[in-house]
Amino acid sequence: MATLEVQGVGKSFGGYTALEDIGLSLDAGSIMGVIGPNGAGKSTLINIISGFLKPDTGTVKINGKDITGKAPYRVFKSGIARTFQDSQVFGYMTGLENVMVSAPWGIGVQEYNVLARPFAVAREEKQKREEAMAHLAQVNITDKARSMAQALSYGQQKLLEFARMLNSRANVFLLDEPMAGIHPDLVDGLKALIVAMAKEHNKAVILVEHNLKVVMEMSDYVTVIRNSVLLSGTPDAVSKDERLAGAFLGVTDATA
Amino acid sequence: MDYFLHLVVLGTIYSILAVSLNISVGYTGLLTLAHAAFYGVGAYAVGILTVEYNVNFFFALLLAMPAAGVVAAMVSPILRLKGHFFILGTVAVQLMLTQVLFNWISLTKGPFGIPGVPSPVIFGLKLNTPPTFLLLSVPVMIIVVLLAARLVNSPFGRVLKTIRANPSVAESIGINVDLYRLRVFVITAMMAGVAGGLYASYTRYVHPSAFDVVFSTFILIMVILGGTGRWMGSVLGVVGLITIQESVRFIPALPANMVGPVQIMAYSGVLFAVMMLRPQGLIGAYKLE
Repeated sequence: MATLEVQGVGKSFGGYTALEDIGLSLDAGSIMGVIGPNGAGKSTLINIISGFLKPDTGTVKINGKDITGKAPYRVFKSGIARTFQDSQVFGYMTGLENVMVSAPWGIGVQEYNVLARPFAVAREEKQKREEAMAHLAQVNITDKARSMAQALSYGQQKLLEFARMLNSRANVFLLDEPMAGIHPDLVDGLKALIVAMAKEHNKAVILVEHNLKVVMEMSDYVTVIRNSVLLSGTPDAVSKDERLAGAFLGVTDATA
Repeated sequence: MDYFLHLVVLGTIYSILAVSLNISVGYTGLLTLAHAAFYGVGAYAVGILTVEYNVNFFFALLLAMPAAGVVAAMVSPILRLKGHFFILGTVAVQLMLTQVLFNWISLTKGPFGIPGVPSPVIFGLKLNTPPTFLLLSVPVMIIVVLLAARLVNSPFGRVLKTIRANPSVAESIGINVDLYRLRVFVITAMMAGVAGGLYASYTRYVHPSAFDVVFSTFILIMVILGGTGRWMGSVLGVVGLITIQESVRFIPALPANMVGPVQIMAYSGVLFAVMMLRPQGLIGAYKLE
């Protein structure tokens, strides 16, 4: 049983079919690159898996559990975390707080416990703080724990988002164009971090990217979509397939 | 001196209102113009219970909280509205509740209001003057403000801050945004209910016009002046706005019948100036956009 399983997912907006019969499956510890031209439905797919959009057809399962059409917060609690295309840190919160927010469980998030059980809440907070610090350390920005997130550079904010994701208990990470807008000097570091998420932390990673070269380097599997799955396989097989160019040039296999 | 202490009493009541509204507006991003309505529900709860049913004041004050909370829960479907539409929804709720207070004659006495609300009595001491009433309103204010400060500076408060900053991202990290918005809406209405109960027993008279949309705006201005997202800011905002309001009385040659209108213009001017010049208020945690 794969960690993440997407089957027969379809979605239309008005008369426009954004996605049709999308299927993919992914195991823990591996990276799946999802590529396709603009408007291919990559972000729609991420939004469907993470619960922000309900699919018209098909199912999304995590560890065999059907989560199709569940609210985003429920999807997160069943183990899927995501990033957004642009950096989405909480600007007026500190680096540490930005990481701690991705553990919205336990007793401290309930107002009655905050008032009635202050000591238990304080103990829980201490532990959450330590865990968050450890995750800041994993992305090498412990020195930003006390800085307001809005004062960080774009790249550092991106790292903060990764720390936030690591701090959640999710085992599937959906990364929506994580390299977009990142300074070239930081790209290698970010790539290593994403690979480490899969290989060291044993996460299943879906990597949506524009940059073909980056995807081919990092992924264990590649799926090329243009409203439906055009190609899938290992990076080697996909990059040798002549239909790959067609996918980006506007020629589908039907006409090739 | 008594007049000054009267202002201090009002300050304690307004502080409860402003600090609780700040939890909605400043921490959770629920910009509401219906706070005076829940304040009114609390005032009427105490007024009706003590005058009509001879309920002990302190018991009535406790009941004012769930009364305001229940009304907030009843109108909570407006929480489905987002952004600007939510603000408009709260205006609608405020206007409706004002009309209910004016027209549900059998319950509220309508435009006659409820006179003769008894003064609270502690250990045989009747709290019917500003200095004596402070013995009650100061401790109640301190308790409510400390509870509010505790709530916002807790993991619960951290959840609220993420919702204000970006509800979608909050949802993506496992936060049930709708549920938290509902809880904040009800909790802060309950706090306003306490303030209303104090007000009723202090002025000994409740009338619908004290709980209208103008007063909702007044509370919001205190929150914005002090600074959103800092509980202490709201206390400062109360002090600041009462000071500005009372300074109007010292304008030379201002006819007595113009004091009220000029006060309203003064605090409207304050709102305008803060938004233009210092959108984070006096000590706010962030700039309002």
